[in-house]
Amino acid sequence: MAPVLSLQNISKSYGSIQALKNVSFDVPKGSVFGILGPNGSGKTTLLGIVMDILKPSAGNFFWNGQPGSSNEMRRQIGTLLETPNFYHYLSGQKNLEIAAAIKQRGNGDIPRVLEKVNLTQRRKSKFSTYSLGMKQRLAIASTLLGDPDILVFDEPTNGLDPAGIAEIRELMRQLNKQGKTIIMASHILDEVEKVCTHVAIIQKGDLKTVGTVQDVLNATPEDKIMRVDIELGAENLAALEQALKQMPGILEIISNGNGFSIHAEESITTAGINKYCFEKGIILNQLNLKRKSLETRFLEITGTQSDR
Amino acid sequence: MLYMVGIVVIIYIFYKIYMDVMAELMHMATSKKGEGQDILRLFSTDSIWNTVCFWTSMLLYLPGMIIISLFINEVNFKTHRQNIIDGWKRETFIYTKIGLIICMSIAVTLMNVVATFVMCQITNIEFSLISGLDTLGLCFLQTFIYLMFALLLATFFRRSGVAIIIFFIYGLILESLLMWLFSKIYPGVQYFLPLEVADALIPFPQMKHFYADLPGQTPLLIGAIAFLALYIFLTVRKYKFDDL
Repeated sequence: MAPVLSLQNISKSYGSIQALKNVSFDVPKGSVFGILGPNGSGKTTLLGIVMDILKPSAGNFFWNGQPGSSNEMRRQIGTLLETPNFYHYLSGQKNLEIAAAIKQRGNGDIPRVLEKVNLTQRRKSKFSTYSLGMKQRLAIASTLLGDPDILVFDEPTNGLDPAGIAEIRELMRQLNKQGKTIIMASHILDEVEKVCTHVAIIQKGDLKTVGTVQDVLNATPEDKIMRVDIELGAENLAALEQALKQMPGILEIISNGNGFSIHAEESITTAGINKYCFEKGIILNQLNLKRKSLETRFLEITGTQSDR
Repeated sequence: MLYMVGIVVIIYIFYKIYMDVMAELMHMATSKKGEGQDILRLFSTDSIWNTVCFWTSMLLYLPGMIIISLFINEVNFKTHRQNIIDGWKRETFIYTKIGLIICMSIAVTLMNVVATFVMCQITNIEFSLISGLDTLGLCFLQTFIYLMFALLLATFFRRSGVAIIIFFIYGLILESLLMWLFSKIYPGVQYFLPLEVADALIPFPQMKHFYADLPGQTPLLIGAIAFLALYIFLTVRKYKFDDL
């Protein structure tokens, strides 16, 4: 299936500062694609380029196979870039009417999108009187005008309270279930992990890794071999260590005092280890598959503390 | 409205001072204090349009400031970016601003009609719109050039303070210095500077000896239209290809 968005060697420089370096990846149709990176890593620059706000220094991009970002294409994408950008002296309703007119959608959809983000009551208030969370919700309402098939969000939960964050995450899941493609830039690892099906990690303009969230979590930074992490223990630790050393597929054994942490190839399962040890006469008293979090993986890849 | 009142007031003040000076000159000439006479005929049927449009052009910096502020407000609140994201072409956005400038130029021209009508009532001369049509056309062109120059500065500098200061310093000081310099080196060329080319279209009436090197109206018109086309080209190009 043709990707919704395809980036080919996108670079962007500001004088001597290189904000993006040969970034290439495809966004599959129907995915929730997270662009993850610390502040200043180039996420917003990348989204700015694909929405024709910034001009790339080099490289090409294609929306649905068409080069560049035509205004007809942009009309079919709901986009929230950085902060909500509205006329502060106009009401929420009027601002949405302007957006609808530019998108050539008509005003019929405005009540639905206002209802979706719980802003119907305040639709006639001036934008300048809105709280940060309300401004963000109005911006999300604007992206939903005309029910676009592609949505681009830059830090969509910025300024929202925990309930608002949960609502927006749920909204994204619903939209994705309807078959919409969502591209989302965020530095909040938990958000990406909970919502996204695919992720690209960018650091200092470099694309560090890209793939499904599961693939990214399982890949090792050095050799990209899929692997699992398992913690296990037994009465006889020396015998256990000896057995593990002989077991095929075990990549690394680390002692943690009461037992071992092992890195193994993806084909290794906890059931397989249990059976193997039992056959060697070792009864395990601990056997846990360690699920690696995106935060752990992010830190492994970038070698930095996250902004979370 | 404020601009309208402003242009009537500035012309009326000039009229009062001018008539007092004329009265004093007459008194010196005849040793008899009497009513001021319009010996230079600045407030005659022939010259009233030129006089009014010349003085009101002094206030063109005000709509220029408004254009700069309107554009840079869009930049500061990033609403121009949102319009592009939502599906406008970059050219569409900048053409709307040029459209606004055309509307403001028409409004300023119409205000000059009202100001001239008011001055005709004050000075008891006959108001004739037909006799002022050519001057009004030049007034429209002059306003269009001033406002396009302001928009050009706004697109290049993107900070209202900087753009407005440059607009004033260039228009009121730097261009006068350049005019003086060119009048010494290449007489006549000084009338083809970026804003002066518009000002020279409507010179101070009945004072031709002040404009010894003033070229004919056709080369000035060609120069003015060429500058206007250049401002539009540079503004559209800058906005079309720049990061927003």
